[in-house]
Amino acid sequence: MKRCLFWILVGGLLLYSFEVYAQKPCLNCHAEIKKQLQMGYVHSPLKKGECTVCHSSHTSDSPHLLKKTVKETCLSCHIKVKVKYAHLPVADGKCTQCHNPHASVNKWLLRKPPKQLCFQCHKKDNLLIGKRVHKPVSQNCLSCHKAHGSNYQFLLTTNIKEICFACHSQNKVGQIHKVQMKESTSCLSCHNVHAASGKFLLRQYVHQPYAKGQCKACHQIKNGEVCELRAKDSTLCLKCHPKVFAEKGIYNHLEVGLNQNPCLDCHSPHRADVRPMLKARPYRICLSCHQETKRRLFSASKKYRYKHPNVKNKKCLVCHYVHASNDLFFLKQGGINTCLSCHGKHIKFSHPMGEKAIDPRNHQPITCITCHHPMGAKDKYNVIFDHNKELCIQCHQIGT
Amino acid sequence: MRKGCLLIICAICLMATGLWAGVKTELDGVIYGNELVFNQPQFAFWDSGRQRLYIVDSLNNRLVSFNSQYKYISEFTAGGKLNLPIAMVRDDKGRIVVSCAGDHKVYVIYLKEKKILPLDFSAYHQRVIPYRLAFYDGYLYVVDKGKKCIFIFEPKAGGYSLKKWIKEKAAGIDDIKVRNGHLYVLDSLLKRVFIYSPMGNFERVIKLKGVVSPVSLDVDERGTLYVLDKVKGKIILFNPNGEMVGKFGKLGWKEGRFYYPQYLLLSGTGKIFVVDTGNGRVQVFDLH
Repeated sequence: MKRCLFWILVGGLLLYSFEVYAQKPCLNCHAEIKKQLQMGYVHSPLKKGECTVCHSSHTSDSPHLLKKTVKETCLSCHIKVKVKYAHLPVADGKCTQCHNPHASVNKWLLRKPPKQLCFQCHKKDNLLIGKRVHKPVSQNCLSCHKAHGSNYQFLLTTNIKEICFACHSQNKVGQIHKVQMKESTSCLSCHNVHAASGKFLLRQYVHQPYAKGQCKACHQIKNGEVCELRAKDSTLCLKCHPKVFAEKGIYNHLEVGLNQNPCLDCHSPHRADVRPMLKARPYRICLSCHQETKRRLFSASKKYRYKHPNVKNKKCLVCHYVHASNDLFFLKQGGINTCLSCHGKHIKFSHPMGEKAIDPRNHQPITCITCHHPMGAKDKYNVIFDHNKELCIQCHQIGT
Repeated sequence: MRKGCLLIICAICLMATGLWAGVKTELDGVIYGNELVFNQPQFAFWDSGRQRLYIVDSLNNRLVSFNSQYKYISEFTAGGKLNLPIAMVRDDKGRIVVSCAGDHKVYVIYLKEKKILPLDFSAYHQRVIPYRLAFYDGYLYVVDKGKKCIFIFEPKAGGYSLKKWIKEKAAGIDDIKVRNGHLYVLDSLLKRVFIYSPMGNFERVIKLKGVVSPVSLDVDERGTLYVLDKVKGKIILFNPNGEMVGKFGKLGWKEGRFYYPQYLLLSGTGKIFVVDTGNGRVQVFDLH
């Protein structure tokens, strides 16, 4: 019995001494981490020498011998907050994309100062499209946006009007604007909050009736005041743009939209930075609804490894119509001709296609998209199946 | 080790038979058209009285009928008046009602009298973009995709007259069905099913979880919702509380698989008709 107690005591002492010792010697080998201790901001577990809070000293399934994945490791101490809109790296659990897990010269262990850090992903060329830059943009993005997540769109700290009126006096704004601004009116409808080439950060392109001061073209005017819209649905727009309504097809974008007037899902009624009066660049508008396509485009999966150059360059409108089509994918000129408009030479050497080449799987004419998926496929040339064998045996049976 | 292997084999067998998700189906027939194959078929209608299946073959501007063995009977073009038909029903008087995307009109076709009259929306005073149709107990239901509302037409001597319209906060109505004394409305953008009484009084809403792009729905006698997801190429089953209870189908081109299907219909006799638009065919499954 005594012998047993003795060995338990010895074992316990050994384990304790190992635990104490284990925290110290990490830095003996990891000299680059040791150097980081001199930086202004050090992660508290490292400061206390508690490397084993995050890392396993022996083996792990996660990189850097982390005990769990990066997301799980961070969230074991830092509380997760549920928000409507999460910043993409946060949602993907890529905390280390912005933060250094050990130490940094920047506050909150940021890899770079906040301003530089944001522009790492949000490219200046895309964001700052004019010479006149909004002051907070050149100072600190966090004056309007939240870094991790928010219940407001674009990760804003609060609703857009409150943000604007925090700096710009509401009375002054009211005096400058000739018409009474409504509750629902958004400053972003006319102003680009980041940068613009025009005065007052006004967006470049102007809707003709608005430019001419013909508010009554779209709005009702009562006692000289601009009131409600003349129609709440697409008839408002189609009255002046009848050609759009004339674009008929079994698939029609005019029939679907979160707005009561689906035109306003993509187009801005007053001012815009992108022609023709688009709310954003076309691909951004497309992907805001086509979530499955977005998932393919941004997926790192090998299944969607190869993508068409127009997809990579985000040029949706090179191949697709936007208003109406009889083609399932709104392809311009139908399936084959859409591709041939660029790949004209392929007709001379490619697999037979069209009415004379029937796919035995579904009795439909073979087209380019029978074998290729431009939005992302697993094999070279955007081929859906492995082009060495799997692709061919979809239709051509192998003799035994 | 042996137990592990057995479990894996059992799992594979269950998945192959479709039991894995609680649904067992068997492909009963595949319809490609007649001499002329379908071009973008959009809709199917099962006439249980006549035991006939009607397919709306949109780009060929025709309605094609098949018998219960899925053998071709005839096609109907209304003398070339159908301009991109997208939905049809056959009412209790034997009239065919067709909605056309080409001229945004709904036509009532009187077969015996050999006349075609457009449905009168004039009481609504606004332009209508008609889409899917349903027929129940003498009443005709028409989806307006433009205003995102549902029109209810009541029978009148020799035709229909507009009784009322339902306008809720729908973003994109894609399908309607009247089953078990309720009107089911599928909103593909909000991914919700709104349930009304047949006369349009709101009852409740079901949120659909786990769907990407729902385009069509149907409901069986137990109240189970069958939702067709065109992007996933699957039919997903929800119980009346909106909980997912099963799914079947796979994206693909071979028979039994779906490529951007557009419409789903239950016959009421254990058959599921899936209009597999991307593959230009209609597939019929036996539901066990």
